[in-house]
Amino acid sequence: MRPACEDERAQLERALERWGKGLLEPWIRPAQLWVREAPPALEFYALDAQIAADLAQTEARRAARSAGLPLARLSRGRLELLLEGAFELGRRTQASRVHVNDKAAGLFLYGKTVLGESVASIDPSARPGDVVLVANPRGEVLGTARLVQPLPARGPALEPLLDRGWYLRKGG
Amino acid sequence: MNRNPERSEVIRVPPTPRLREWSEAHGFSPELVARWGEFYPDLLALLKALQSEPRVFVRLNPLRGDPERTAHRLRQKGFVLQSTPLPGVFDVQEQPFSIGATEEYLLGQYYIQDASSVVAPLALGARPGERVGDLCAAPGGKAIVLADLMQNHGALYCFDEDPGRVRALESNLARCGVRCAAVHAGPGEDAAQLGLAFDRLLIDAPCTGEGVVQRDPTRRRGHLGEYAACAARQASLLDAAHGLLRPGGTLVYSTCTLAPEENELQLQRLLDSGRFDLEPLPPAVARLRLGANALHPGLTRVAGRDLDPRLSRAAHLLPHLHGTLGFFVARLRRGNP
Repeated sequence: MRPACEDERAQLERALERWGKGLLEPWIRPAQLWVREAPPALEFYALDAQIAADLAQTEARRAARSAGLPLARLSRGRLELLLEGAFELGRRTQASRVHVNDKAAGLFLYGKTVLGESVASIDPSARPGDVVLVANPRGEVLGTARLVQPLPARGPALEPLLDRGWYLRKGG
Repeated sequence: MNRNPERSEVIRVPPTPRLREWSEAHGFSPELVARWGEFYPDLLALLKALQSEPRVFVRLNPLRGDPERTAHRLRQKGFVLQSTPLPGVFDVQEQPFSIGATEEYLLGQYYIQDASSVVAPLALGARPGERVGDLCAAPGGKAIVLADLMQNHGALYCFDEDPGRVRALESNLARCGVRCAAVHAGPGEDAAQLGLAFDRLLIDAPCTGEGVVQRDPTRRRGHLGEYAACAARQASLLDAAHGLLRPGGTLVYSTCTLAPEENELQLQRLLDSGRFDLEPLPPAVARLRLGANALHPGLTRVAGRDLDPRLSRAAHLLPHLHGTLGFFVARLRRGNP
């Protein structure tokens, strides 16, 4: 792991622009941005300044398997938000966000498709095919999904990509 | 009096015929039961507690949500939560469905862990800005408490040698919003290769797990031969601790076993080396009353041998006295040098 270089920060900033300009700093604040190379992808992490300083100066960096909060993966210009990256982004922006009712939230956490009638509200700029942040009625982001069709709609509306139920199913 | 028994020495207590009969009837090793009766008060109550369903505790995680709000949300869903003397720790007395399947759990707003396991990080008392090591960290419950005590600011190094458990450790740290930790896959002794001087270390050592019989009934049939292997592992971690800590640094050693070979006798060896002093536990821990009982002091006399009187500063949590899993905790200070 190592601190992200300027070019990597710029790549990530560009990838985040669909959620809003200048989001990178607020997204990671008060932490620092680090990367782990996982070819062909780059994984981004938010580290507290102190552990970042420690790792930058010592052998610990080479030996660390991971550090900080995993945010996202960037591969060939495509951004994949990880669970904590989506959660933290959801605290900073309302863009590309879909609120679902509590029943749908429960199903979404099992990796189930969300039906159109379960959607309470949606960012008006979201288009079919977009990756959206899926939030419960309290605004807490539970994961990401792909918007299947324009809303309001009957039938499947949100196809899960990553949901926090992953922590029970696979996370350990 | 022999204050420095050999590392591999195991204390054998011959079971009486009545004890042997009872043990066989209830699936316990008679040798284990006889030892417990020798070391701890009220054997019958202890055995009854070890056969009962363990209580379920949660610790609310301020790193991911206001604890009062989290408690309110859980109560609204029908969970009955009873506060305990431990900060943020609740006894889950009724569950309309599994406490591990809520949205709040998946959001990292609480962690499911026995009340006893919160005591070790509280005894260590990590502070923001410090460099702290958790040498046997997986699956991460204690590390999350440490990160909270550090207010998510500092350098928390988490080690574990089990690859499967390291994945769980990473997952739990992320779910609970920990930004100040680095995870290393490998034994805690590997910390020596990093060239770091720690302010504080937690060694929640691998052990025979007698204190968690309620969760793992197979441990009722524990064999005395297991003590030597575990004690050797524990001694290796403790030996490494001196070189890892800065002079005056703090070490907390904890286990979930009732065996003196893995608890007091390990620390006796450390005290005999003169490199550590055994401190009183911080008041917030020392004055705890769980199950309306104070913590049980560390043993200073084992199988007819007198040990260092400072061992009474360590503490046991016992299922029949405190309503938790069995746990041992001690706080030490590294000498100069």
